[in-house]
Amino acid sequence: MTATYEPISTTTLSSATNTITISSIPQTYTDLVLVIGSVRDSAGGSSVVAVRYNGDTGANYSCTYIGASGAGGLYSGRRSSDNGIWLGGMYSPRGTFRINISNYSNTTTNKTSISRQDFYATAYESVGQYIGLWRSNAAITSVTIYSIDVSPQFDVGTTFTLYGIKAA
Amino acid sequence: MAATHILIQTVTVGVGGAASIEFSSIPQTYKDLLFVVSGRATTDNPTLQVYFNNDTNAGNYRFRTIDGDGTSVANNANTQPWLMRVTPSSATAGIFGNGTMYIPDYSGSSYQKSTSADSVTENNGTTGFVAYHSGLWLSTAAITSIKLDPYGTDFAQYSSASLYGIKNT
Repeated sequence: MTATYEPISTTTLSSATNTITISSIPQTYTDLVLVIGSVRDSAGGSSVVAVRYNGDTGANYSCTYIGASGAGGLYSGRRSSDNGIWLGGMYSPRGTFRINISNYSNTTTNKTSISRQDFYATAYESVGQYIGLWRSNAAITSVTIYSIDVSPQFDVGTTFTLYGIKAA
Repeated sequence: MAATHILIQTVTVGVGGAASIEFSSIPQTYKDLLFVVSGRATTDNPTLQVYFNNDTNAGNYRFRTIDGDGTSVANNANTQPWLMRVTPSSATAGIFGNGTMYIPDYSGSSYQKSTSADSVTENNGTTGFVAYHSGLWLSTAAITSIKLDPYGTDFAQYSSASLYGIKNT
């Protein structure tokens, strides 16, 4: 049987950090899936997590989201010109982000993603769905995941795993 | 290249239904777990409880859900293992709800376990329901078993669930 869902990179943090970059992504898959597991901010508070591609720090990203939380009730919003695609907040105790990036290796279309945010944290428990866009036709060769705030950071034990999905 | 989604077990409910579906002795050799459930209840209660390691103390579970039924959207939370839904018995015969749950880092023993689930039901073009569920089990124990237990009711015949282990190497 042909394997269609293959691991590209996996990292477990042994020290807290604000940013992690997965580079040299093979261009041999159709889609990418990024799973950020056991994630929380190192200060035990809250911080927004985002991704950007190919080191592009320009205002070339946007997102639209819906969700529900203990603090904010039902919510929906949009960010049109960010320096990265928001994935939602990370809280304590630990939660999960899962990001699907479609057709990442083509060079003719802007890149889209859909992601889930799942946390249950005192006062901040939240479930959300975020749709993202990178206004670039470039193939995605690297993914940078970062905390919007310089501090807090991704805590020790946070895992980052990138999978490639083949169409055949 | 290695396959990453490995089927651990599939359970299909037989004649007469079943009180629950349980995956036990889950290997600790994967990074994450994913299960898929096709479920229908024998009564009109659609709530599906998910217990880990046979911990049936409701106080050890939390959830936050956003759900919609075609006319309204709701935001719910509680101290309960109500982490998914199935199709209730009032739905047209033969219709089963679908759900998936992703459990990252299930074999660790340092952190409480976070879950990410989706549930959908559609009743013959008349009613429907969709939900995103964020869950937490307040235990740092490695997950060795998972029990799917319809709240106050049973699984109907032909309900099924499959558990996959996800490798990262």
